[in-house]
Amino acid sequence: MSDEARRGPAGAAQVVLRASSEDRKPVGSGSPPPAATATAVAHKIQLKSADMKEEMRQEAFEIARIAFEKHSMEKDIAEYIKKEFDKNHGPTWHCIVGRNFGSYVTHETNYFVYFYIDSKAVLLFKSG
Amino acid sequence: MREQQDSGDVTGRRGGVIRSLLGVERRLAEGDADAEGALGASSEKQHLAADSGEERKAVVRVVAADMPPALQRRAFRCARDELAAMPHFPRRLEPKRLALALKKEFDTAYGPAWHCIVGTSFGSYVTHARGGFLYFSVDKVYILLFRTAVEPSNH
Repeated sequence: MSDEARRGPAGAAQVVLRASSEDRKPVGSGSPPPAATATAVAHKIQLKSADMKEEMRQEAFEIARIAFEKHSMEKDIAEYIKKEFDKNHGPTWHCIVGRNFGSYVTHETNYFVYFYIDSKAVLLFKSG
Repeated sequence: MREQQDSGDVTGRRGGVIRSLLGVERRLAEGDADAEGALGASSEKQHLAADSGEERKAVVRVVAADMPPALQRRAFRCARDELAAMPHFPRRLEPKRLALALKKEFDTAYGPAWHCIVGTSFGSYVTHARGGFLYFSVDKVYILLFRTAVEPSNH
């Protein structure tokens, strides 16, 4: 399979255009538990946009929670999530994590999710 | 054969800079163009002259690339033009608009499928087609542009 192959309109028809962006999210919009009494703070998840079945969405949320526990840098969190999905659902997945970004991507049908975990946005989609 | 490409973490590379980046966002919203110091990324001072019609050339830096030079130059030109067309007073970054413009231009010129991420604070991990990856900044805006191979549908 040539990774440089160009596809005509017919090829493009197999993918769906989706857009997502991060708007300013008010800080402290939830009510976080007092740090002194919490031994493990559950990360709050807020779904923003999805073209993904419920079961896979829940898996994405769970994997993101694990990623946030394991890593602190956004690129490491993105790496963990992408690799888990490549492993569990086949290549090729892409993941973006951050406080401030907008995006425009093409993804395969049924494989796109955009959500917040605490104050950071996570964009996960399959393409290629 | 595709390559794994870690396009870097704006936050991580500057250690604990989240506060500064948030500061930058606020300043951008207030139309303050003199925020380079907060990032510590450049010694160059850039000031917008509100009263004069003189246009300042945006500073472009390539963070990482696997892309032919001609395509890179096209991305730079497209990004500069779009940023120049966005509101300056107060300055407002419209990342989705810029991402859309770049993606469409590249999809049209070079074939699908291109993806674009624009922002001041994000990390990413993507797989891209050979020769289809560019991570650059225009002033304080970071832009990730990459291509994936479009597979025939198996449905």
